Amino acid sequence: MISVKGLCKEFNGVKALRGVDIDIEKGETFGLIGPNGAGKTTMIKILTGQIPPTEGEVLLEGEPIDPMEERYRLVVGLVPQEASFYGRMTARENLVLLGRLYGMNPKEAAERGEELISWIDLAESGDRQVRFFSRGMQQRLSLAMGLMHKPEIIYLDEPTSGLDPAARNSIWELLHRLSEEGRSIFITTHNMEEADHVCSKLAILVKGTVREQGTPVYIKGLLGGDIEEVTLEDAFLRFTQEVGD
Amino acid sequence: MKGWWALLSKDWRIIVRNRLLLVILIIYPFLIMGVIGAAFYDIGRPVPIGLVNLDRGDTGDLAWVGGEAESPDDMRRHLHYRAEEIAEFEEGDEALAALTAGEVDVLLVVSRTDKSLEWLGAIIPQDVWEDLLWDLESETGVVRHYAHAGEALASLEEGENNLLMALRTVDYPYLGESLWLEGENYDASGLVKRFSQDVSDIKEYASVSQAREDLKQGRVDAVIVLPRGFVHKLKTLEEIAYVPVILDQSNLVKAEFAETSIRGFLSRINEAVVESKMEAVIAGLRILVSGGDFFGTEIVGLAQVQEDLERIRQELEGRPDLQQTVDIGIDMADTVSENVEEAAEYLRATALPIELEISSVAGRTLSAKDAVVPALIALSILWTGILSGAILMVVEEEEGMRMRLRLTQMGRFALVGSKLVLATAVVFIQSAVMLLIAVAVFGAFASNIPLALLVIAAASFSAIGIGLVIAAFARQVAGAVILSVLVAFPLIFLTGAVFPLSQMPDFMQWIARAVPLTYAIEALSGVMLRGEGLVDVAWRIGVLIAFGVGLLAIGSILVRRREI
Repeated sequence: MISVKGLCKEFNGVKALRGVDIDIEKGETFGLIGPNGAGKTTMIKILTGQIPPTEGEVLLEGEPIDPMEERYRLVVGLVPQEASFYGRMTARENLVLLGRLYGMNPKEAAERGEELISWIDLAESGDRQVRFFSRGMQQRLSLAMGLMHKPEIIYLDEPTSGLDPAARNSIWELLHRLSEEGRSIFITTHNMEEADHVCSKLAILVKGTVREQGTPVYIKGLLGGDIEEVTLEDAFLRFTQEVGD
Repeated sequence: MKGWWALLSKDWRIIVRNRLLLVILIIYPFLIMGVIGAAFYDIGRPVPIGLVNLDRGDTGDLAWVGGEAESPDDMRRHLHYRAEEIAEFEEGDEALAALTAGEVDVLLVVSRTDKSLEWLGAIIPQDVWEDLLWDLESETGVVRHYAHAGEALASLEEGENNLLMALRTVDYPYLGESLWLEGENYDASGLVKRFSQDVSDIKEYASVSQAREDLKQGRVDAVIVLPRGFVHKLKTLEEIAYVPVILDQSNLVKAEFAETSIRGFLSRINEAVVESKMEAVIAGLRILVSGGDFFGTEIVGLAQVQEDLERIRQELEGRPDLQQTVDIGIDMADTVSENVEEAAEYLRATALPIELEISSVAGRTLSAKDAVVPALIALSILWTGILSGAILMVVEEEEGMRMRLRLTQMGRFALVGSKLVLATAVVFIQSAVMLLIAVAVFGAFASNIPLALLVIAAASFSAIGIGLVIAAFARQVAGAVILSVLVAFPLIFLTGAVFPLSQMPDFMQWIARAVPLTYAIEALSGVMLRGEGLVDVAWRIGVLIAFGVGLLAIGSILVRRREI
């Protein structure tokens, strides 16, 4: 659905991405894993049209497209790493506002908001100001806000970072449901359990290049040995250290 | 414009649901401008002045005068020179008893360097009082008068004086005299009270020390001491009446107000005295011509002399030589009469050659209350404009919403523009309400309210521009508030709202010209107080809008640079 070819990004002479090629298929949950400073957040920024690449191209359904242009921006959704909502507005107000800014009329925005607020199981708390929500509730709302305009692909930047296990499971559950609905998902994460559990395809990004990509089973298989005993964390450490050495 | 309303209502909700923002942006400006407005509301009230009248007959049996001489020995020599007899006393009580009993006419108290006192008594002829007081004044420069022995002696103890003279009040010739002025008879304090009406609120004290204490406590703003002989000097005009005034210069504005007030009423007394003296002189000159009572003496008058000469001339008919001599006399009398009349006219014209005729460019007299309103509104615009501009622009940064909003259909223009519209509306409505309250409730003067509102709109835009630039340096609302206050505070002093621009050094005036609110205050006072029209203030409105556009551009560039 979305492909990236030879993507490079340079900041003041420092190369953050050095020719990245990835393909995200429709309905696929694509995980980008890598150590700190590997270029994951830069990838998300380019893929959500916030910054332009230095080189390379982004293709939507096989056609090259400028991620900064509106046609592209409207098919992507974003769940940023940091808290991202108006804390002094209610969950419903946050959702309706985004709907309005995506061009819905007040009725459409309210209906879509209601649909999502039930989907994330916050219908009862929907009229409370979001700053009083727990971190898990806030993250569910953040996910719903990213889905407000029914994007075809949603980018999540470390979506469960800092959540307790229950809140994390509830996000995973929502992501599974999204995937089942045929929505493409792109996740960056540090959490190997999350990558293994949620993603159907992974790319290991190290120092701005994709070291390996494939299904979690394929990545683990690259280490050799008993596939039941090898963990994704072993593979992550192996591939990131190789480049480090 | 789709989505603009959603953006506007979102930002408005954020302001009203955040108590800090609600107070800072909406409530605080009304409070602070209300406080400043209230402070200026009744300005021009009479200044409280303490009055100590030492020119009174009922302050005690003895009168005290003192001063600080460079060489006290010289004064001792003067006393020896003037006195018929000198007595030295060991103790002060003994000396005072001798003075009270009439054994001596005057006491000279000299403070030695070790602070011990030397008491000299003297018997002096009645006609050398003046000379002796003159000696004291010439040796000390300033003569201080005291109503009580304790106060006088304390001045020696405190080192304020090193010489004192004491004399019996019955002998002191000019005590408690009164002056006939403008149809009334005044003593010293009556004179001050009469001429300080409206400008000063006079509070009388029995002694300088009491008045000085109240000055320190802030109960009066200055103390004026009317010295002994004050009225006498006004009556005779032989000497200048030096009037000691004590100011509290720890508060310069208060001291300035008090001094101006005192100078004002003393000058009015001066004028009235000179005028009445001049009237007397003119009347006297005319009596020289017409004849009559001249200060108790019956004057024949030149007119009578002329009549007599005419009669003599007629009686000398047949003696042309003598008639010719008499004619010369008549001519001379004519000339003198004319000269006297001219002199009288000349004196009348030159007695007080200058008189102010004050008018206002507003075409009506303005009060401090009227004059302060434009400055208050400009300050409110400055405050709310900078803060609302800065705060609204960092809301998305603080809430992590910037990236999300950039993905929506709303372009950068709408995201920034909606904030500009809201901030301008907040500042404009707030300032307009302030203006209407000032006019409708407090009766402030504003000659052209619609044009004032136009200036307010332009000024709001430029103040918000400053806020946008500040926003580029802040990532959180709290940071934006702090930065805004740091910027707004010095700007308040640079706008001419607090100090007149003309009183600032040249380089400060140049800096003030770079502050948009300077133009806002000038334009607002122009349209509200000076009756200026659109043509007069158009260029200032243009400057304000240009500032706004320029600052908006700078702010946008800075924010964009930060994002990449």
